Amino acid sequence: MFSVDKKKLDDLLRAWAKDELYVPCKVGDITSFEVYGTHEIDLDFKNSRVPIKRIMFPESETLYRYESFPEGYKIEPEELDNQKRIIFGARPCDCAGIERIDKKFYQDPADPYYDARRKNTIIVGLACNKPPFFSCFCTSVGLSPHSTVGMDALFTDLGDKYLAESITDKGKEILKGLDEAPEDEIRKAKELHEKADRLLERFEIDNSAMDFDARIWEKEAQRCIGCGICTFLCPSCSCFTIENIGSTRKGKMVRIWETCQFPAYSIEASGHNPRPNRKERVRQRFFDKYRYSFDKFGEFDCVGCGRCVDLCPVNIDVREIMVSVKEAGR
Amino acid sequence: MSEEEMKTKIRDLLVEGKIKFFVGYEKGTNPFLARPVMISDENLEKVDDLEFSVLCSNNLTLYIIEDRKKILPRGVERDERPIGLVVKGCDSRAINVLLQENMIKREDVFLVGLPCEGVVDPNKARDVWYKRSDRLNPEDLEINEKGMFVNGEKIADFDEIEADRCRVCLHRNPVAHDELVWDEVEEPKLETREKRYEKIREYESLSPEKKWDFWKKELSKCIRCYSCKNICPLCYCEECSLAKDQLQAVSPEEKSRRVLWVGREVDLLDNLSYHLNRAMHLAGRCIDCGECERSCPVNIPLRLLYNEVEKNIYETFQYEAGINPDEEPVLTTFGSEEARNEECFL
Repeated sequence: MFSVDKKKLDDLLRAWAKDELYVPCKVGDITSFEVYGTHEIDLDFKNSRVPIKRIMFPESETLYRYESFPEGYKIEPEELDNQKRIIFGARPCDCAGIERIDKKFYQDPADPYYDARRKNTIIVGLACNKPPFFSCFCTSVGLSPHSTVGMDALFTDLGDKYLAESITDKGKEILKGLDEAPEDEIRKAKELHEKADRLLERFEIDNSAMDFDARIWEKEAQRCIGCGICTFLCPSCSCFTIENIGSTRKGKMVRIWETCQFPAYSIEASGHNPRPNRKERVRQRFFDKYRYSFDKFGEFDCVGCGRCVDLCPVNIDVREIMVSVKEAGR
Repeated sequence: MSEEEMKTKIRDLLVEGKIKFFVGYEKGTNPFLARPVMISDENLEKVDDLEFSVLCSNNLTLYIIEDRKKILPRGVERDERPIGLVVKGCDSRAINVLLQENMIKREDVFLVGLPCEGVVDPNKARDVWYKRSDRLNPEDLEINEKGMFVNGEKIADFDEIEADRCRVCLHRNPVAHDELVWDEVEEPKLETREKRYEKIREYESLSPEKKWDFWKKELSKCIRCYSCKNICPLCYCEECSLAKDQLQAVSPEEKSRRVLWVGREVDLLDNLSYHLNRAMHLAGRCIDCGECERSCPVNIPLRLLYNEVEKNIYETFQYEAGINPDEEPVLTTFGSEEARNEECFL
């Protein structure tokens, strides 16, 4: 445990900025993680609109370039991005999202593009002393406003100081040389953590009560407009599509964020779509988050950041739905 | 008609099977937004909870087209009965555009008009609430046409949380309706049209470099989630030439022939072509319901783009979208003097 004076934080960040350092910044009226020094830094932020997954898994990235020659196609894989990065100030839910994405990208064989960025990135989290949004529900999915899942180090705001805790070896490395924190600061942080826990209302998610044929999916899907905000902004969603950009002669293959909420996502080569309507697509999101991922990895693919609740233009609320699923299953 | 009489009427229509379902607003879990609710004869009790308030932000006309697009299981026939829905002034203009473009027939819809003096912008309201209230749970929050209240104490005036589009709205009363929830409200004064284009004029006065910088900054935020397109009641194409996201059941041959005009890559050029193309496709059609801007998760000022196009159309043709359903859509027709004009585009 280390102690960082807020006045000295900038020195610390400047030292970290020799690598590419991402900090929460005010961009227009939303918060976004940007490279240190390019925007006004904002450490009183609630949470960034787009989760930090975009730093390791960008909205679009080139996989390889191709060009046709008389002797055949020449394929040039894109160079791996080995830039060393530090993300400072990520919220615990978003960090847990990275851990969920790791599980998917590190299945055999590991994804080289993601791997290159991931292993070169150090994530320093910032605990929520007060859960930032009315829609926050991290404690209901087994996390907390100060959970360290997916982080290398955790900072806690103590007013005029930060308490810094290293979680992994990488975290130990970058916190080296800081002052040891006195006992009372550690105690104060613990109190703040417990207080934040109490602020959140918990509800129980019972995925065994989820009925594939229940009426609720149809009912909720009626309202859905299929925009996909819930998945694009989800810290743990990692689906992508691969598009050819260019012509058959010359071009590149690009990986782009994709969502199960679009019909084109599940359309098959024959033209058949196993998820033809909103009902199937909305249901897919819920089953993927709370059932399939649980069966496969032993945890929910949801980190309770509440973005999908807060930003849904038609107010489809996972909390409400999972509560009524549980009640219906009783 | 009063609210209660309206609810009785809606219930009767549903019980008698005269309408397939009714789309209205209900109180949801988001305190800054009344959410859409579909009521059919299966959940008639919901009629009592229908809400007509300043939180009714969504444009429900979208759901008419959504219902059309639904793929039915083999052997199930499409229910051709009309759909009932609530329309505000802006929404009713979307209905007129759909009528003009032969997407629907007037008898396909039963319109409950909601004369409206402005709705709340959920994004603004949320920001204000987070700033001025230290609470986490918005249970004791109340929003009405007077402003925002916590425990009865006013924390914001209505002006502060009113949606931008409503502040310059020219058609508060539904231009098409079968019934009205309450009496028509006073239409805005004539100077609102001047006010309407204030922001645009300000933007137009910028130098080309400044304009480019502005859009460069705004459009590089875009993550291409296509929510602006998917929430738009007038972006009803079964398949969008700017995004392949809505590709539906087609044969492999057909699928291979699909052309995407704009790359889906998230970079400035592709983002720019996507948004500019969309603005062109909405020229003379956009009714400024503001849904795109409201739903945009990264707060791109999309209305500026569409209002600019709207202003150009108004100044060139003195045409406003969605006012008269019998009028030809402005950009699909030529006036006699235009045909002779040598400077004419075609």
